[in-house]
Formats: sequence, structure tokens, C-alpha cells
Amino acid sequence: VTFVFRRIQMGRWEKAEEQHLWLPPGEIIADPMADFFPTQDGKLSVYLVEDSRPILDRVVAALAAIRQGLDKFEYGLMELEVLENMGFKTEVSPGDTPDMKVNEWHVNLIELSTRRILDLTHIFYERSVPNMLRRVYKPDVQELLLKSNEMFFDPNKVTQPNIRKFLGL
Amino acid sequence: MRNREESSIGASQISFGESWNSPAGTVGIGYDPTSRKPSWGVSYQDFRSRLEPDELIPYIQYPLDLQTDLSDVEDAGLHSIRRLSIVTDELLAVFQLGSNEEFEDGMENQFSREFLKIVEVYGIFAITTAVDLILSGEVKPFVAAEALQRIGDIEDDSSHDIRRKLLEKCLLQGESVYIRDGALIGLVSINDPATISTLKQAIQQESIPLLRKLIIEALPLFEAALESRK
Repeated sequence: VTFVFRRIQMGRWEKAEEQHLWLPPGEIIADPMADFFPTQDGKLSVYLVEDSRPILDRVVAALAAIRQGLDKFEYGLMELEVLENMGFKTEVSPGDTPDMKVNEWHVNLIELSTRRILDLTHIFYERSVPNMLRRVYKPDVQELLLKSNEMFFDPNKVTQPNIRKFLGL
Repeated sequence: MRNREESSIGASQISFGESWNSPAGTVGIGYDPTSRKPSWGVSYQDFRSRLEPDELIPYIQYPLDLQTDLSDVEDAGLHSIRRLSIVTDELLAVFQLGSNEEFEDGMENQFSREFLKIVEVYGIFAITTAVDLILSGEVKPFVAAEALQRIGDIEDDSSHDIRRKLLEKCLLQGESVYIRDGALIGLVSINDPATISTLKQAIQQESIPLLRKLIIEALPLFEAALESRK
């Protein structure tokens, strides 16, 4: 099964699980929508992956390497087929991380309108919360970075000073 | 003003934040969240606890006057009062700064830098005061969560146990899911097996399914730490 991998902020989805008496039935608080921005030209950056630990670890490490500092990493998974059945489309678009293989897994969700972002938020909430939302804590992120640096990274593509320092580059 | 001999009879000392019985009732020293000033002389329930192990104040054996002014208290040797006021003001200012920021994992932010500067200056005193402000609802929950994560990240063995206990308190007592989750993340950074019983309690009482799942998933990290210590 192929999944869409998208970086998220867990707190927004936790907030969506709280009871908000002012919300009309069937609606969720708007906070999680922020995880599907920014879009650019109606496109949203995601990765297509299998739900397998080595692959997910590799994507986490690659994306952690392009951040300013060491921190936890949170992401959500959604079956691609579900999105395709809802009419979502993808286009191939190489990613820009230090791991060339991970870059190949990068695609854009395209032709996104405000309504489609709303649909995306709802389908993630209905199908991915809580089990397909995941968190990798900082010590594990550090471990994954070290492993990927040893096995998969192009060191010239690691540009963030703090990450370079951590990796001894 | 009461004289020093009367006010500091005996060698007994109490930690800042403790209470004791006097003829006027229970007396304590703490922070009044309503006036945002240090307070004393009212019932202990109105106070927020302070932990400052290396800073003790003289035991006062007479009932404190509710109208006592700061100079009188300082005369009694309560130098911590002024220090508490300063650190509280600085923390409130930096929490306000944080409320105008957006936090993103792995990206630097001004709030964390300024918060850690205060911790560097005031040490555990700043941490206990920050947690106190957080639990009293003085801080925007998403800013509080960031602060709690940074508290967990601090590399300082001497404050390890106090930071752990404060974060455990936030995990169990935080009103906002942001606060409880921020505490969980901080606790994972500290990764002390002593937290296991608190995590089990938190699993039982957590009302948000996603956060409960995250606590359950964090538990093995602490159990692994326990194994590695055997």
C-alpha cells in the first residue's frame, strides 16, 4: 500500500480532538488545516512511501536534515488510493534533501483549491487520527540522522550549520 | 516593624513556598497570580509553590501582617521575594513575546532563546516560576508547550529531578492538551525511568485519544532506560 507522507504538527490534531462546544456538528476546529499550507501554485509537497519502518526512518532523517536544528519530527500518513478516489492528483517532482532516494519519492499534490485543502484536512482527521499520525522524538531523530549520514546522505547537500555540526561535517 | 530578634527566632528554616502554622492560620510565601506580585500571609491554597533548594529563608514565628510591605519582609530576611518578582516579570515578558511567534519543529525561534537566557541567569528558580505561571493559566498554551520542551532539553544533572517532577506535574495537571503534550516531550528528553508510574497514571486519565496514544508509545522509551540501568 502506498501512503502519502506529510509533515505535521501534532498539537493541531490534538486540538481537533478536544471538544469545542461552538463547533457545528460534523466540523472540526480549523487548526489542522495549517498542516496543508503553504501551497504554491495550488501544489502541496508530499512524499509517497510504504508504511515500512526503514523507509519512514529514511524520509524522517532526510527532512530533519534540512531543518535549522535538532528536534522531534511529526508526520501523518494517508493511503494514496483514498485520495485518488476522492479525485486528488499528483505530479512527480524531485525533492531537495540530502538523500537522493528520498528525493525520488517526492511528489506534489496538484490542482488544490481551498475546498480541496478542506477535504484533505477532513479525510486526514477521519482516517489518520490517531494511528497514522506519528512522532519521532529528538533522540531518535538524532540517531536516524547519524545513520542516514553514514549510509545515504550526500554531505554536500547538508547545508544547515547546526546539522552539519552535529554530523561532524 | 518587628524586630529581627523576634522575627527570626530559632535556627529553623523553610524552603521558599512552604507553609507553616501560626496563630493567624496557615502562612506561606508565594506568587499571587491575580496581582502578579509575590504574596505572603494568606492561606496556603492561594499560593503557588516554589522550589529553590539552595535558597532558604528564615523561619518566622509570628503571624505575618497582611499589610506588610516589601521592605518589612526584606528586613525579616526574605531576600527571595524581590528575586521572585524580577524573574516573574522577565518570564511574563518573554512568554508575551512567544505568543506572537509561530513555532515549528526544528526551526529556531526567539522565544526559546530568550527563555533559556532567563533560565541561565536564574537557574531552577526560573524553571519553577515558569511552571508555576504555566499551571496557573498565565501563559498561552502553545507557548507553554514550547517552554516545557526546552525545560526537558536542558542539559544539567543538578536540576534533573526537579525538572522531571515539574514536567510530570504538568503532564498530569495541565489544563490544555498543548501543556500536557509539551510536558510529555520534555519528559522523553529527560528519559528517567522514575517517570514510568506518572506515565501510567497519565494514560489512565488522558481524555484526548491522540495524546493518550503518544503517551503509550513513549512508555517503552522509559522502560528501555530502566533496562539499560540494570
